[in-house]
Parts: sequence; C-alpha cells; structure tokens
Amino acid sequence: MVGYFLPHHHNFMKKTILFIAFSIFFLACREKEIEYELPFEGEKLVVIGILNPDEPINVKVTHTWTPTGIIPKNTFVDNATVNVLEDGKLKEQLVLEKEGNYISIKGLKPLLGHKYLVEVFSSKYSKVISEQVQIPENKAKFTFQQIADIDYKYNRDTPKDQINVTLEDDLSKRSYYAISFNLYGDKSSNGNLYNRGSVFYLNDDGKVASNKECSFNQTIYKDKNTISENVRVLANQCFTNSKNTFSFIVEKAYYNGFQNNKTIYKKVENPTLNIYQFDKGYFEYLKLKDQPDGLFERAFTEPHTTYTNIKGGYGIIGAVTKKSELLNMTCKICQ
Amino acid sequence: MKNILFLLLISTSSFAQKITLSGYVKDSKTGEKLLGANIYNETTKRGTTTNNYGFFSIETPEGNAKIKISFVGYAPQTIEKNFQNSQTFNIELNLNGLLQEVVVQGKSEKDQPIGKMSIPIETLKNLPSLMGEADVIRALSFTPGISTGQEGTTGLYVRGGSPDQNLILLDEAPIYNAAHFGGFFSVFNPNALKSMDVYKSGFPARFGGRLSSVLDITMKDGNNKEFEGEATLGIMGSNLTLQGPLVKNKASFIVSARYSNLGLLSGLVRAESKADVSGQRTSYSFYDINAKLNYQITDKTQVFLSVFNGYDIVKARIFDTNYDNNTDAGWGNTTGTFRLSHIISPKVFAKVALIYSKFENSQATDNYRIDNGIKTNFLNYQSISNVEDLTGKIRFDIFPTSNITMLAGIDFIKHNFQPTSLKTQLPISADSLKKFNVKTDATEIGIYLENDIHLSSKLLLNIGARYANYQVENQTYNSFEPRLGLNYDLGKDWTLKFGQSTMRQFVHLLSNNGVGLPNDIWLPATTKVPPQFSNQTALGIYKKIPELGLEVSVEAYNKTMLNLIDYPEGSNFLATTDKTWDEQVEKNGRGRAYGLEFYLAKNTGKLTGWIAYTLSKTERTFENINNGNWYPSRYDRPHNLSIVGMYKLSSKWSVNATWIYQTGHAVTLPDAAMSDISYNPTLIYSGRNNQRMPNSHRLDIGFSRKTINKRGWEKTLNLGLYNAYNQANPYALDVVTKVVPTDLSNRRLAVKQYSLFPVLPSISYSVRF
Repeated sequence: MVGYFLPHHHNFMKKTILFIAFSIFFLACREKEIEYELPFEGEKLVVIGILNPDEPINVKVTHTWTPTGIIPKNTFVDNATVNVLEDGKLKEQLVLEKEGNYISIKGLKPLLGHKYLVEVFSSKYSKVISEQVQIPENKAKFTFQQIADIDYKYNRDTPKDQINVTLEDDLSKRSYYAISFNLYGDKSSNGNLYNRGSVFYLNDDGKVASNKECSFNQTIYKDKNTISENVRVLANQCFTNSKNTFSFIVEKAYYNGFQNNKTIYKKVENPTLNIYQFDKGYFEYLKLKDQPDGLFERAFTEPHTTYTNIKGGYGIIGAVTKKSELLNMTCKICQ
Repeated sequence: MKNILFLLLISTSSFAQKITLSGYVKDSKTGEKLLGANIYNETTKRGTTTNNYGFFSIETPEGNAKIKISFVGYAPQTIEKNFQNSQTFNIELNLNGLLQEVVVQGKSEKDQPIGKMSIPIETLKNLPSLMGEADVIRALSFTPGISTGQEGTTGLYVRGGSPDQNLILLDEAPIYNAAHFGGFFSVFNPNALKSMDVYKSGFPARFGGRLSSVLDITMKDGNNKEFEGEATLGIMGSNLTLQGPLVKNKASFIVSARYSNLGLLSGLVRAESKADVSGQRTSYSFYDINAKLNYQITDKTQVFLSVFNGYDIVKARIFDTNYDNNTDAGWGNTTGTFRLSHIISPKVFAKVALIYSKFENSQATDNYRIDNGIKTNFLNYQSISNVEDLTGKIRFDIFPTSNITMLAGIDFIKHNFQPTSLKTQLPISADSLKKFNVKTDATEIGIYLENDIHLSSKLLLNIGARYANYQVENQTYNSFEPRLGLNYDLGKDWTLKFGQSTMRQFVHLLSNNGVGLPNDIWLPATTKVPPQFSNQTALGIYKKIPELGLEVSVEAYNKTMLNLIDYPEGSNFLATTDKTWDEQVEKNGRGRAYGLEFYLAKNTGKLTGWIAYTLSKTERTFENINNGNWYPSRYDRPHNLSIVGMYKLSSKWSVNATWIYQTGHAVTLPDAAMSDISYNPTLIYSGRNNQRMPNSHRLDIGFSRKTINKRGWEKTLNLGLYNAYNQANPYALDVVTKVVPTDLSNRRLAVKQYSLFPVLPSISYSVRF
C-alpha cells in the first residue's frame, strides 16, 4: 500500500453523492460514442527534466498527440538538439541515450544556487525553451522526533512509529518543501520499487495542513521502472512560525503472508526520511498534475489549465535538492 | 438625486377638481383578482393597470366618464356613468371563450418596462411538455434571453447571468431552488398559479437582491363563488386541485397537490443477483403542495395566508453479503406568506406581509458491515445545508394623479445560512467539525421609492431608487441602486424603451457544474466575500400590427457584473479540505454579457405562437482561473432560437409544437495529450471552457382534446411527443481510453457523449369539475 491518508468525511460524502447521481443518471441516460475530432493544433515538444545536484542532468523529450485518436506507442523525439544553459551561458549539449532520453556525457550536475534553462530544437517541431530555474540552496533545516510503536486507528496490527518533523524556515522568501519516507521492501515481481509501508499524515488542523495551495500529496518518480515516492509537499507561504512541525505515522513493516492463523510482517529495508526543497515551477507542476478522471469527477471538478514552464511546448524543467536521514526502526514482530 | 427630488415634487403637487375611481378587477366566475388588467379612461385618454393585487386607481373629472376595462382572455367592459364623487368599486369581467389570444406580453406593451414579459398560465399549460407535465420554467426557456442550460440541469440562465442571480418569488416568498431533480420539472404546479411576470432588465425599484432577473409568480386566490376542482393523471404522477368559497364572496381556499413517483423507472437500475443478496436499488419521488386561504374582511381590507412545500426524495442502497450501504437524500423549499392589504383611500393602497422561506438539502448515510449475519454500523453521517429567511414587507401604492403612480416600501429580511452541517461518528476533530457547522446570520433592509410618471401622452418615465443595507459578521454593506426606465410612443404602434438598473446581491450560490444534483449551497456575502453587483443597460423597439395580430420586438442589452464567486480550478465543495467555504472559493470575479433579442409573435387566429432568437455572449474572469484571462461562461450559448406554434384544428382538437436550437455550451476539453512526468498518458488543457459541446436542437409536439360534458365538466386529453425526432442532445462529454477493436495492442482516445432523453411519448388526462 502506498500513500498518505487524510481522514475526512468528505470522501464519504462524495461517494454517496456520486452513487446517487450515478443511479439516477442511468434512469434516463443513454450514451453515444461520437467520433469527434477535437481540434488539435499539431504536435509540440514535451520536455521533462528534474535538475538535482546529486545526479547528472537528464532530460526526456517527447511530443504531444491528438486528444482524440490512436494513442501512439512511441512519442520519443530522438533527433533533437538539447542544450543546457547555466546562468545564461551554454553549458553542454546533451546526447541521446535512448528513447528520447538525453543525458550529459560529461556527467554534468547542476550547482546549488545556479540558474539553468533548457532549449530544444528538432527539425519537425517548433523550438522550445524552458523558463530559467534556480537550484534551491540546500538550506533546509530540520529535526525530527521519533516515537516508537505508536498505536494508531488504521491498520492497527501493523507496527508503526510516529515521526514528528520540524522544519525551520526564516519566512523571508518563498520556499517549497517535500517530506517523504522510503519504506521499501524488496523489489516486486514487475521490478518496480515502491513503498510497502503506509504513511499517515496527521492532520493538525493548522493553516498549512488545510490549505491545498500549500500542502498536498503527490507521487514522484525517479525512473519509470525503479522508484516512486509519495511526498507531502509544503509551501512556506502558509507557515505561521519559523518552526513548523509535521507529524506522520509510519508503518515500519508490511504484510508478507499469512501462516498458522497469523499475519507475517516483514520489516521495511533502510527506512529513510527525505526532506526535499523544490523550485516554484516544480511545486506548481506537482500541485496541478492530477486532473479529474472520468465523467463524474469531471462533473464535480473543472480540470486545471495544464501547468508548464516550457515556452512553445509542454512539460517541466524543475529543480530539487534533497537531504536524507536513515531512521532507526525496530520491529519486534517482524520476521 | 436632485432629479429624483424634482420628480417627487412634481408627483406630490396638488391636482384639484378631480375625483378618483378605485377598486379591484375580478373574474366574474371565480372572484379571482386580475393582475395587470387595463383600465382606460376614454374621457381623459389616460389609462392605468391593476397592480400586483388587482387594485386600480384612476382619476377623472366630475361628471360623465367612459371607463373601459379589458384583460387578455376576457370580454372587455365599458362603464359609462356620471361620477360625482370618488368611488371604490369592484369590476367583474367575463371570460370570453371566443377570444383565444395567446400572448406573452399580457398587458399594454407600451407601458411595460423593458425586459418584462407576462406569460398567461393558460398559454404555458398549452405548450408541449415533458411527460405531460406543464412547466413554467420550461416555457420560459422558449422566450428570448432565457435558457435552462442543457437537459438535465437546474436553474435559469437569464442574459448571461447564473442561476443564483434570479429572484424567484411565489406569493412574494423567495424560492431558492425552483427545480425538481435534474431540472426536468419545476416546483411550480401550474394548476395552483394565477400569473407570472418576468423581468430581465429595467427592474422596478421594489425588486432587489438579485442581479439578473425577477420571476414574480402569484398563486390563485381560490374561487370564492363556487366549489371547483381539477384532477390530472399522467405518466409522471397525479395532480389534484380543489378550491371554493369558505364564505361566499368573502373567503376562499385553494389546495393543490402534486405527487410524482419514478419508482417504475427506477426499477430499471436494479441490478440484483438471483439470490437477491447483492445489488443496488434506487428510488426517487417528489411532491408539491400549495395552499392558500383568502378572506375579504371588508371591501377595503383583505388578508391571505399561502403556503408551499415541495420536496425531492432519493433513497439508494448498495448491498452484498458483507456490506450494506443505505443513503437517503432530500431537498426542497418551504414557504409561507401572510399578507394584509388595505385600501387606505382611493389614492392609497397599502400592504403588509410577513414571509417565511427555507431551502434545505440533506444527505444521510448508514453503512453496515455484516459478519456472520450480524450487522454492525461502522459509518454514519448526516449532512445538511440550508438557508432560511424571515421577511417583513410594507408597501404603499399611491396614485396622486392619473399621470403618476408611486410605490414606496420597506423590506426587512433576516437570513440564516448554514452552508454545511455535519453529524457523524467519524473520527473528525472538534475543530474540523466546528468549521463545518458554521451558521451565519445576516440582516438585509431595502428601502425603495418608485415612480411611474406619464410626462406626456407619449413619454412614460419609471424612475426610482433602492437603498439596501446588509449586515453580516460586524460588516455593513450599503448599496444605493438607481433605476431608470423610459418608454416613448413613436406612433403607429411603435414604442421605444430604455432601461438602466443597478443591482446588488447579498447571497451567493455554490453549485456543481450543472449535473443537476441536489448539492446547491447558498452562501451569504461576508466580510471575505463581498456582495455581487451588476449594472445593466437595455434598449428596445416594439411594433404591433393589430390587423395581422403580430408583435415584433428587438432588445439589446449590456450587463457587467462584479464580485462573482466560483470554485478554484481542480476543486469544489467536495474537495478534501478543512477550510471554511469563504476561504476556498475564488472571489472577486467579473462578468460581462451582451446580446440582441428578436421576438415575433402572432397572437390571434387559428395559428398562434412566436419565434424568439437571441444572439449573445457572456464571459467571466477570475484572478486564479484561466491564468486571469476572460473565458466563456459555461452557459454562453451565442445562438438560441425557439419556435412555438399552436394551431386549433377544430373546436375540440388543437396541436402545438415547439422547436428549440442552441449553440453548444462552453466546456473544458483537452487540446492535446502527452506523457507526463510519471510516464502516464495525460490530457493537456489550455484553458477554462476552451471548447463547445455539439449544438442541440429538439422538437416537441403535443395534441390536446378538450370537451365539456353535460354537467359542465371540462375534460382534457393531452398527448405529447418529447424530442420527436429522437435527437441525441449532449448532456455530458467524457474523454475515454478505448482498445482499438481491429488491433488490440492499440488504444485510442475518444469522446463519449451522454444524452438523456430519447423520443418520449406522454399522455395525461385531466378533468375540471
């Protein structure tokens, strides 16, 4: 199980109303699939790259496709010129690794506090250029407190610790943070690595927690087939103090079968607390990434205007820094 | 302001050597007061109309006078007499069976404010209807400048305004939700109604509190001469109306009840297993009850009490061997009006009213786990949203001369809003619950003065102003709303009209995007969310061609709106958040709407009806929506064409048809698709309401057979065909991913359209006894 859980009655209310709507809608409803051609302005480049000082720069280049019609199996753009500019000067031209993925052969890593932009040319498409993004100074100050073997109302039998993370911020300028926990087991059969232990974010009724502009959950990916993380994203614009504490209930073990009428739990491997700092663009991108899905969600929620900081195309060049702390978690009942 | 004072001085100056004739105009058979009847003094060449209470007052010099009284559908009457003193008397008009005018403009068009329409209830009862249920709101959608959104949605959209911007009054009580589920039927039972006036612009100062329209509906008083009844049986359900005298010619009653049960249709969605141990069940029904008591205490004093209650009820259940979910939802209005009217003098009519109105919607859920046959409740909650008003009104109609009519009054409204309330056993913190159980009280005071002044035989000036004071949360909003109307008789039955209105609205509505669900939340203007404001200017020209029975009009309008609210992008009231509503909504939105309305009506002859065409545009802008750029309002429908025709085939049979065509409404649809940062296909949206649904059009046909038996009972058989050529009009669009049948390894994106009603035959039978 992945994810944070925010206990709230609205989820139930929503389900109820959706159920009523669904039932009555079908009293009289008939559906008709019409092959409209929604207007399509032509293919544009999609550029995605998350710049992290710990890793060589890599940028993925694909293209858009028509909103109605066959979904192309391959949207990679393999003939692009991808330039990285550092503080306004060309730093390196990336080279194609495979499947639209462009990498730095010099192993170029972005530097803290420096500004980067990416421009992409391809013969078939219009040139696109990203907004300039600054790698956040990795100055996130945080402490954490761990309360072992806490009893919590959900998944009661699974061993859990409470982790209180205190972030210090001088509030002098806008900052964007994310907190996540690596609670991995071994790699699943399909090779994906994902959190096996659940994380419950304790809603503290504070201004930060309650304001969707400042606090939300999102999944981020390092790579399609390796690691996904569920992060709690926070913006300091809702911080009321220079020190803000965010509390999490963290499962330190996961279900690993059932034997002799007993559930077998396995300890997560190398549990880690991660504190990220994002630039504003990446924060906005993650905030607006999820669109309403399906007829009834769309009926209740207007889609977002898609966020991008790629002029002439779509996608995101984001910047992120990360600090990690290995957590010492003991599990008495784990095998 | 100086001009207003000047006009008041004119209006209150002395006019000697004249006497005043006043009284009520009534139906001779039922005693029903006739609103908007014409009284024309042929001696002085001046006329007036009865007010909303059927009262008139007209001056004439002492001596012989010839007074002509007329009203649509009634035989005109002329009183020629030597009048020596001021007199108060009642005039009774006889229904004229020969005169079958079907007019939307009920009374003298020359004197109507711009943007006002009166639709006789009998006319709308003759229009084709969905499942045989005549409907006020549906009939309005065939008139220029008004639409009801798409099928299956609630609310009226008047000249680019949103549904909350319509002041809907039933016997002066505000109706907050005028539609039963999905907008298929309005809450107004036509058998209980006497008249309906609609104002789209040129609002008289007596109306306030909404930006876009006023729908002023009056219930019947009840027959005070003899007992009568009407019973209707249709596909939708049953309708029974009884009325009669309690004390002949003095006191009357009317009770009208309507019940509808869609249980038959709801059987279609049952999906139970053979063993009946799992499945889902849904039932839906609604009812309306109207009742009114009238008592004429003296010739000059009358009281009435009218009440209305209408409710929708939905019950839903999902169950299997381990789980049982029961959900009840309901929503509806309750109103009550007590009114006392008194003729203080032939020149002064007074009214005092006490009015109660409540709209409520609620959902309740009980969820059970079933272990070894034992049911355990593990989740329950009850959520209620309501708005409750208590209103006091005092109004004086003053008729200083035949040239001037003055209205002055005070309205006092105490609002109580409870946008959300929650009772539950869920593990929700006390602080969160507190935020969901916020009640807000507000008081609204409106003081108005309105003058109808015939400046000359050709020029009528309606000038007035309304001052409103609104107090909420230690915040006071003051509003001065000038109103101006000008009607100029160009001669040869041409009239030019102008209207300018400033309006302020102290309530807001948060609603979903038109799905027609019972989740309307009415909210007060607060410290954080200021009241809505609008300014509308309208200009129109009108022509009557009596010899052909034709009326033509063209009206143009321009409306600006401020302080609108909307949901933030990607969010709505169901979103998971602990913020209060006024922290969540997008505020300070602006709106603009402009358009041209064409209207051509044929009111006499075997073939009657009208054609209405509206060309319009309406847009919105909010700082945090659509990157702050203007975008089309959801119900921006540039072209709207309605054709209504009624043809009398014989003395018994008549046929009627309506055809409506509308541009598809604006909708947010993807412009492209891409692989996102998570490597998933995702849709790209470039802006709010960036595209349009397909255009919609529909033909409805109805046949009616009326007979009268020996006992004088009128029997009517109505046969109807809704959506006669089975057009699949869009209700909702969804973008879905499908497997390509010819190549299973491929998927495609497609647009799926949902439509509601196919061709629907209907039948209803009514007896009037």
